[in-house]
Amino acid sequence: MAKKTVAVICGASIATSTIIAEKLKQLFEEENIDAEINKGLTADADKLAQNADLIVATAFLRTDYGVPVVNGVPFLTGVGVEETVRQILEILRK
Amino acid sequence: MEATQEQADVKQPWTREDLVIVPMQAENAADAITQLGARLQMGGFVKDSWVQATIEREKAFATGLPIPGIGVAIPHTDAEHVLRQTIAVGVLERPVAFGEMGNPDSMVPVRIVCALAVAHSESLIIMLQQLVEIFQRPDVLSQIAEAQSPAEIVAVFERHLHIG
Repeated sequence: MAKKTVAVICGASIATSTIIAEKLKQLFEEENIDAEINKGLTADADKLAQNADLIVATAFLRTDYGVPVVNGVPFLTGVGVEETVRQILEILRK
Repeated sequence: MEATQEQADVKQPWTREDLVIVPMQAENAADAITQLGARLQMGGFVKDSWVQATIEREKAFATGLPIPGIGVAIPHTDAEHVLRQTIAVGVLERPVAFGEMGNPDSMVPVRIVCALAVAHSESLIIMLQQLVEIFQRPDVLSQIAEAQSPAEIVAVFERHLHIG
């Protein structure tokens, strides 16, 4: 599988994307997925979306980058995490 | 005086009885933030700019987390408005609508408001990681929602939040 690129984007502070990036890193290790994770704020979204195969976001992104976007908030609340993980794996394994 | 690294050091308690409002009544999110901000200000944890800055940030980047049964919100703002790091907690008698994080068209009926006074962005990460552990435990959230006194809530936080 070619190395994938995942962009983690959050609203005003880098904190939520850091937490989510950590959880994704664990997930990718467990699932043997070779992926690079790049974090940023919505202001960096244009740049981060450039080469991304997947965007995990905790903030609403106004632009459609043609890249699949998955809501990252379940990683914070624990609610709906299994479904979110399933979506992420499905997208990255394409 | 800006918050220093020593003050952001993690051996401090997470919250204090004078920073807890239970039961709390609020008209709306801004009111809840204002009430908790008043406690933070009185305790010397934030500057008088914190309340307005937090209300504005909440409008732009909502912090409501849609946990079924007990909605939680984590309003906060930049470290420039903070003197010392801490958390103020409000347990609302009747839920108040906060915007849902990442989903501006949705509202979350919030019962537990954790107003964060964050000294550095690094400490926000640590605080959030710890809080996230609590949010994922319905039993702990129930304890907070059903607490009768500030002392009980302080005890729950001490019991379930660990440093390092």
